[in-house]
Amino acid sequence: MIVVPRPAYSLREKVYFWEIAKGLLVTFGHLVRNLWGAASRSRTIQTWEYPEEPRPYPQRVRLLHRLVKRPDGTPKCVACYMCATACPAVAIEIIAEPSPDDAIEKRPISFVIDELRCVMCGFCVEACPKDAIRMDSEVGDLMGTRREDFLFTLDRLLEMKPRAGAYLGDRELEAKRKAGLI
Amino acid sequence: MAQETVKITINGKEVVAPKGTLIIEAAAQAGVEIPHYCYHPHLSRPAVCRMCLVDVEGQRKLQPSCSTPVQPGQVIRTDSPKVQEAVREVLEFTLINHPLDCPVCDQAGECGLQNNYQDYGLYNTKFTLPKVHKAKVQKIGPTLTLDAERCILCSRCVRFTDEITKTHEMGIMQRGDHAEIQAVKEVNNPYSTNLADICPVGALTQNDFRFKVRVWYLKHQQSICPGCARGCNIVVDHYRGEAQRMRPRNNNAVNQSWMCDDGRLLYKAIRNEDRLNAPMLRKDGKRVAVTPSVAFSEALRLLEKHAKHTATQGSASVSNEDAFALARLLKMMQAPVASSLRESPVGWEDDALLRRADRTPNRNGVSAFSGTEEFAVRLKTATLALVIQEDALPERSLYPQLAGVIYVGTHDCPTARSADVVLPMAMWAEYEGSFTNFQGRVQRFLSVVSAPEGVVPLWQLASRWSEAFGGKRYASAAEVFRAMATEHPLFAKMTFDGLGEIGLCAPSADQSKEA
Ligand code: SF4
Ligand code: SF4
Ligand code: SF4
Ligand code: SF4
Ligand code: FES
Repeated sequence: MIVVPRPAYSLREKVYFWEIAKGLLVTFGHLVRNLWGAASRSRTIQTWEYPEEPRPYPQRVRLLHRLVKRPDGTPKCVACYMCATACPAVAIEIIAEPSPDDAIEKRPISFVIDELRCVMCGFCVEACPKDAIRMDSEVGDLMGTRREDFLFTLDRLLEMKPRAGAYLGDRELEAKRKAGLI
Repeated sequence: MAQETVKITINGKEVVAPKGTLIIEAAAQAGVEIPHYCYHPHLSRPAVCRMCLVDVEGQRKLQPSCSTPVQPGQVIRTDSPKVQEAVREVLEFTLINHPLDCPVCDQAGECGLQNNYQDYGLYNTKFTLPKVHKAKVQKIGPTLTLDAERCILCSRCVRFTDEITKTHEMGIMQRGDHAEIQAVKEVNNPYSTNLADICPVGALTQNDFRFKVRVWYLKHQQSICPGCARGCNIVVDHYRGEAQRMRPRNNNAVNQSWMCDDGRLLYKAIRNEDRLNAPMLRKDGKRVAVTPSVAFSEALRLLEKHAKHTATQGSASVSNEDAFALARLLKMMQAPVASSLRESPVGWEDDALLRRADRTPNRNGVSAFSGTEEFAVRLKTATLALVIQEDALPERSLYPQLAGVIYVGTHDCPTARSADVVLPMAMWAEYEGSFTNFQGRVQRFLSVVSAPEGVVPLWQLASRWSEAFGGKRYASAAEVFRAMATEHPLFAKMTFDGLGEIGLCAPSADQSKEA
């Protein structure tokens, strides 16, 4: 076990008026800069106008789930329950049925992800032996007013499109690739 | 005569086993698990899978432990590098043409291949040639699906249909890596589902359970099949408060490792549409649902009023505890004890394996607490009828003198529809108790799922009613059993917990019926 000793407070910190003033200085500094920055529309501004102003996603971002289709449009998922078993939030509910295609054998008749329960850990994606579930859809944020808005059913998951835009660090990666570093 | 024993050493541990025991069995008794596929305690031993090889000192080659009996002084190793290497290679060979269907395979989670691969896996396959493909998803009978590709050719199913059911449906055709398991005719014998149990892989799976629940979600509870007087020992697998399937549990004296197909489906009755979930009273010719306490008091009022003039129809489907508590109540009421039991539905005959013509699970136990006078005879003079479980009074209008009818049962029926008070009672899977099978073996079943809200077993109802007649109220099935054991020789010297997993036979019971 490693014990990290607490740093001792100096007299000035113990008095704490000076420290509070320092903190307020930072806050008001941002306020002034934001007011001026918003007026001049320059990027010195400290807050993001989310969601109008989207943040670039990092490469390993986990967006909302989608289910992958086979070429004929049927789900690639074979209802093996690996994702549901791996899910630490018990967010995935699957009901299986026999597939009319004997080569596939099993398919989901219902597949629901409760995105309100989901903790975005990505275990389901890791667990899937069929690469049928991915977390790379267009949607990274979700708003709704009712619980059902967050229940992603089989049809809804199949309709989700993969994200098309660039990711944070793409350019650096490309440069490294060109330089033969990766 | 004392049984001759042999002393052997397994993995450095000294083990004493009866003479003639197989090494694999002696090892299992000593707590050493030897991986195996083709060996089954109740089938012949062809030693074809070669998974169970062990090192016997002094023997140049490894020996199959499933067909080698123990010899005095044998020194056996199951954990030497030589054995592990051999098992790994056998497993590699077995898996050469295996489809690895695990994602869609119902056996996954309880599969002999998966389990052994955890311990002896090679993980990097050396095999690069295309796999041999065989017929998949074959409906070989009403109860089973066969996937020949997943089969590891252990021949257990062939031996089961040859030796146990003698129906000879399964066979292995062709040779070499084209050898394929086939059903040569429709598999529709009454014990077919056992094939799904004994198949160590997912080649034979049960249609009823197909794709229902992944097996690792299941919880298990020991129970007794209520399907006939045999009382097969079973495990009920349940998930989210619902029974999902029934499997046989080993009991050499009763059902070995088997159970019948009809018995296996009895879990469905726990939640079918005829199930009585709430107590009802008859008001103005209509049945209205009431709370359990209202129905209970109304029934008690009737019982108190008519006490001596009550005719009671018992049932051979209730537990020993139920029957005992009911008989005690009737004695306190000074009413005749529940009359002899009705005949069970016909359709079955005793067969050579398990099924009994008597399709009630507890006739032996219940008759210990039954009177002799027929219910129908008693009815002619009685003013109150108390009917347990049976549909014994479908035509109430034939008995105009009857002032009341109380029905206590699990499912709706004509008798329940004409009753004044309907009290649902818990089913075998919903409480704990014991059945006495046709051999006189008292076997314990435990509660698997919870009963519908407010529904209790018959012994609880009876013991609560008996309070009104000065009786004591029992707190648990074990307590009823204790009282029963002091009063009746059939249960003498037994305790509820002492029944354990395989039950006990009273010394007075007919031992000749033991299998
Ligand atoms: S991301 Fe994690 S929490 Fe969300 S559904 Fe997948 S496994 Fe469950
Ligand atoms: S792990 Fe993949 S194939 Fe299995 S149920 Fe989940 S999405 Fe479907
Ligand atoms: S039989 Fe076992 S190893 Fe084969 S596919 Fe089924 S679960 Fe997997
Ligand atoms: S189907 Fe199953 S029991 Fe029959 S030989 Fe194949 S693996 Fe063995
Ligand atoms: S179990 Fe011994 S050879 Fe198969």
